[in-house]
Amino acid sequence: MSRFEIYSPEGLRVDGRRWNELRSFNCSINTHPNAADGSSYLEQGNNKIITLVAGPQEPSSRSQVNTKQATLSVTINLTKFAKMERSKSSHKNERRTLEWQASLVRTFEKNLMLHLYPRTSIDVQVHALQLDGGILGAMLNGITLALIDAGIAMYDFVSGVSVGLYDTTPLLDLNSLEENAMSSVTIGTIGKSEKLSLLMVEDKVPLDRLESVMAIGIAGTHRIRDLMDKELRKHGKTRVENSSN
Amino acid sequence: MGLSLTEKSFLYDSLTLDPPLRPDGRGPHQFRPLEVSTDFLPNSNGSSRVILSGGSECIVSVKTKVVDHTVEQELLVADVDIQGHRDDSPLVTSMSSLLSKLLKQTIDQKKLMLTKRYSFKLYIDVLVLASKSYPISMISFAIFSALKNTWLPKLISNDDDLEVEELPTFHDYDMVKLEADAPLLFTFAIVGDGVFVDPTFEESIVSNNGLLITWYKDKVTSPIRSVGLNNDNIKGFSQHHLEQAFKLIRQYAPHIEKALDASD
Amino acid sequence: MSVQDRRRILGPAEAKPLQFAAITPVRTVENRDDGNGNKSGKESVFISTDLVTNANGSSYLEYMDGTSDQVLVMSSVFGPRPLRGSFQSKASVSIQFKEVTLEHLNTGEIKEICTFLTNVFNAVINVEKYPKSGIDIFIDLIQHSNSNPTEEANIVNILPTCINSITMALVDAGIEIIDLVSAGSKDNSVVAFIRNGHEIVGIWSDDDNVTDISKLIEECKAKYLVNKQTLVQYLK
Repeated sequence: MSRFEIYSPEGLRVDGRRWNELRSFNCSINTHPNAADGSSYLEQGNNKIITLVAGPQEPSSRSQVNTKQATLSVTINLTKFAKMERSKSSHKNERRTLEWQASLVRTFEKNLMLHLYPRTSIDVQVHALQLDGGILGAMLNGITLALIDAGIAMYDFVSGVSVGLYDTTPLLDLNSLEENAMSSVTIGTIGKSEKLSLLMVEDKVPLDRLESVMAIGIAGTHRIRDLMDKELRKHGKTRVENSSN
Repeated sequence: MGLSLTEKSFLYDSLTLDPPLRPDGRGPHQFRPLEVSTDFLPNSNGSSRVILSGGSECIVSVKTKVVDHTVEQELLVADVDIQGHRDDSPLVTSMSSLLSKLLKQTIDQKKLMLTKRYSFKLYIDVLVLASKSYPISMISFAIFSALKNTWLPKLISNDDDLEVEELPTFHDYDMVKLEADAPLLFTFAIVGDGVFVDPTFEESIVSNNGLLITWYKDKVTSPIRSVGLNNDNIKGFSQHHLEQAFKLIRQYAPHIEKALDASD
Repeated sequence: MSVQDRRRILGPAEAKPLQFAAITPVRTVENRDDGNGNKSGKESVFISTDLVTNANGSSYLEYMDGTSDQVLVMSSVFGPRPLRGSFQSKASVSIQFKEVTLEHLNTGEIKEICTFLTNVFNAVINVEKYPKSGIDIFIDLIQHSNSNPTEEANIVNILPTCINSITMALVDAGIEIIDLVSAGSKDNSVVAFIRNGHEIVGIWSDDDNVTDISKLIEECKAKYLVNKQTLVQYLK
């Protein structure tokens, strides 16, 4: 590790970015039109994520029926081959995965108009084919796109990104090398507002630095929102063109 | 998702017509259109994705690790994960077991030998994202194309290290292609007098029985199994069903192998 | 220094070791078929039914083929018994296979065997007759010794005896089946037949080179007829 400088005095990070730059961001929606009601594929840096949404549909069991609103469930599948080194366990029942699932459900329960779909269930599956840091933020973006593709009513985009704190400098959108080297937080915001819908702090962050960390994080999520919006509009345009022909 | 009695009876009747009529208009020997893409996971040594027209999808990753083969005997691990099925469900475990046994038999382990002490160990991970019909055929196709497109690091150190304590070293960027042939598995649905390759979910539901036949290196090989594609309509079948399935596979499997091979 | 052995649970001071009477080889051979002399030795089958009292039907089969192959299998059938939950118009058959003594097979292979056998008996049991019910079949492989212990050979050697044993247990339980199902094996392949060999209900082949499927089936059919005859003779 000594050969790498996490953040050089010239202000460059391991992959050549500056402190406030995002990794390359590519997304597409409706990638699995026959397999699911809504789907998206997202690449955020070296993260590759497939998200499938099934629903609103009849719940598989009676216990999931809620007469007031739809039941939302999120399943995270971090594949065994996703990391550089193959992991032996499937991460399905790990506490960290279960916690992420619960916080994603809570985030999207607030943002979706679930009361429009009573007595139904909406099931979201996230498959991570490749992992490279900031996965929770990437999953927020992937789920947002897939839910939009499924046509489920929501108030606004939810976009997420991770921010780290290196000494006193906040660094935007960490990759796995950086994530292992410093403490980081994941931020999810609603649309272009400064309202946070998710704040995941798994490490210690000094309170007096939190404001600058959040500021760059919110700016990053807004940029991601714009990128997703651009892709959606492009997709919508081609869909309209194809249907009119 | 189930079908009503009327739907089932309609399907069964149309499949037992002469000539038979499949719901998607295919002939008994025809596959669903499938799309194969390879080499999209930079973290893996080989990867492939197979999508069938109905939306069934399967992703295979081949990863490798250098192990001391005097300590570790197993050089091949196949792991199957099917969405919507628990890891210990009969479908997943029996499929995993069948595939790993088959791959161990067919893939030449000598190709994985690096030196006299070290070997590559292959991890073949299968992720079935969506599938309603019996997915083993799709999985075998994906494994076939993933192994055809697997690149292993090139060894630059001496390959005789029996006397010297030396760890194998590799070229910085040159890779060697793993030329491994994987077997192809075909599923057949038996409906009435007819035998149909690559049954869809709907055809599986009304089928009387199912057959699983393996094709490897231009001949039919083991395992051959009868598999129940549903739990309700299972009946016996006759010798001519088997002969018909063998005829179909001998006639068309080479074409399929060629098509998959050319897809990269 | 204490001399008491704390690691073992010792019996009382006056305990005596168990003593067994000398073992005298006693064997009842119900049926011995000498006509089918493919292998050098003589194949023999011992059948006994109704030995598990709390099961609806049970059977115990010993199969040996004069050489060193020996398969001892016990099956018990529970049901038809009511199933809870949603309505089902047909009986649901479940088969659990277990090795009670030495464990040669891994979990995956055991699941494969269960799936295969379930499929065979789904075709044979008259499931329409028993709506809303479950039929649970348990097979215990008590012993299996064989001269060349390779994994594939193992499964193929035990399958016919398993199938015969389940058939006898089903007959003992009085569950309606469309015919006595039995199987014959040849070169790493097992084929299960009904209706005098006119209908196949299951095929399991681990034979690497299947050139002529018709020949394979004919050969398995010959064995099947012998096996079935044995079952019929016992039932008479």
